[in-house]
Amino acid sequence: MDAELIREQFLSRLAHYKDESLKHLIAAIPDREPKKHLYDLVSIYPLRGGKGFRPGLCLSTCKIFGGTESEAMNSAIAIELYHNAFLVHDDIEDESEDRRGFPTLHAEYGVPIALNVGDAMNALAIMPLMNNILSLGPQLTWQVFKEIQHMALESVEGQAMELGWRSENNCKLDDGDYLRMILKKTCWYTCIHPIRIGAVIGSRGQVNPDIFNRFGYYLGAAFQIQDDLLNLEGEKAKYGKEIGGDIQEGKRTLMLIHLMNSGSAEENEEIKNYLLLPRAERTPEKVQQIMDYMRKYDCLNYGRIAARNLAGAALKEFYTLFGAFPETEEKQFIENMIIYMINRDK
Amino acid sequence: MTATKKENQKAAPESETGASSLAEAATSVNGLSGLVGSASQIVLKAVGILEEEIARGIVTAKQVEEKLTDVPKIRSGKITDNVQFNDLFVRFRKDAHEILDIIVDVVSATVQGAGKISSQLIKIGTETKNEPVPVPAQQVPLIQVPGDMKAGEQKEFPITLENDDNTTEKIITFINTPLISPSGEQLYAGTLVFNPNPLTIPPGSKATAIVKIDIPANAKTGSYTCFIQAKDLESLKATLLLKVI
Repeated sequence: MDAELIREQFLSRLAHYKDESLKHLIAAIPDREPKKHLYDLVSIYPLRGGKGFRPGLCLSTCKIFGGTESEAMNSAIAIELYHNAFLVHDDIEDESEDRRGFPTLHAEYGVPIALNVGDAMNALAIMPLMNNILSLGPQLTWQVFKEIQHMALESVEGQAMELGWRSENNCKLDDGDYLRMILKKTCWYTCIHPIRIGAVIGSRGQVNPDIFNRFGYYLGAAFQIQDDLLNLEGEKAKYGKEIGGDIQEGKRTLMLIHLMNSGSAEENEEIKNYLLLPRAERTPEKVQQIMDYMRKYDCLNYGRIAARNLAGAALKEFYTLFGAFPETEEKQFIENMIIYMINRDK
Repeated sequence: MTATKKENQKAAPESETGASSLAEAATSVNGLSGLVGSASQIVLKAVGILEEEIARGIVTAKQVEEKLTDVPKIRSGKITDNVQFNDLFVRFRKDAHEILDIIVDVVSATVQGAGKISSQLIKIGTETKNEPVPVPAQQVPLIQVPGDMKAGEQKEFPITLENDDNTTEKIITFINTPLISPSGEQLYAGTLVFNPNPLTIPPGSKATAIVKIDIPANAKTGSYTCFIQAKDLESLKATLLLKVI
């Protein structure tokens, strides 16, 4: 199939999942005061046009396994609310300036208000999970709760790992450390749990969700590495964040970790000293120097190959897990997602 | 945590062949050709990490589960965080009065084809002829029969009831309403049969009844609901959900 066709097909289906889940998510926001400093702000990040990967994976998997979109909708919007809460809080913790092409919430409204909006999103995510009792019954509702509990805990543990590395200026990391961190911080909640939850709901609890762990991990890891690559070499207009922002934040990406294990002793000392600087002192010139070192040691290519290998492993798992199912739009969507993940430019 | 330069170079991703034709078709134009089936170092590393993390998670989950389901420990009053437990389940309590606790126990694994049924804890308050103890509406449990059924299909599953009263024998006569779907379709009440019925539960012990579901051959598809209760026992009530495909 032509690459452009795959892309169009995928984005069209993704837009459907995104629009449907967004509609329900917005409806879940209370229409009452305080609006100006809370509820009006809750919808800002979701309305900025997130990709909708998570609800897409959850809703499509549910349908593949025999359920309907509406049966998985409560869980999909709960995941999306948690995701947006993570983003608001992560932006504060990372001191990020841009999110989806606009200033981050805390940059626009201040840290206290942004923190509270993130807390509200976490609180709002509970209601759709409670509403599951009406459509799914107690057993499935409880199972979804357990999935969400694990998802949320793993994500904050992963974030703690990454923040700890930065706080202690840890420069002695390897690929394994990175893979463990993104498993916890990103993969569980971006891919593994949306798929697990969709399959559990669709099969009415008959499918063992553990079979999706590898697939979701490979897919999520490929996604994260590609995201980090775009941060280094993408176009800001498409990507929506400042290019090179991760270097300025001191984020330990696979490419930076590869650099820290490839440079000379002198270069490594320079990199370590750069990472010790407060963010405001990491000037564009210094960021450029790190970029130059990355090019020198072919770090971007290292990341590209890793992302493609992980995507290849995800494809293999996909054919194992989903191969026996009929060729439906939902199945095609997930297959296309793997291809899209590493070819995307935003 | 530390990695040497050599180790990282060794860990450089590599590609192999072995892709399925479908995969090749899908990926040849995207630079993924030949990567399906890849056993690159980074993928192998990822597998190892995932297994480690899952093993760690299983231990934690088991600890939580044991805490939540150790009924004898809870009843003995040794558990310290009953509040959490009560928040999660509709729980029956031991109070000054005698209580008949009925646990709809899931033992589906032992009955072929039974599927699974929701774990339920149903509170049955002590009642006299003059003073029935109704179950609050929000505590009427929902019993879901997972595993969709088809017209003409039969399914059986056991329910185990426990009598916490150490002095009085309990006799439970199950009765149920017809099953109805949101579109107004009905399955007659005899679709559900309890055996034995009545069920006698000696003081302080358990007894098991088999619930047999026999879907009529002409049943229409849909989600059916029925109400189950025990005859002359105000406080035993449950709703059963069943999906016919």
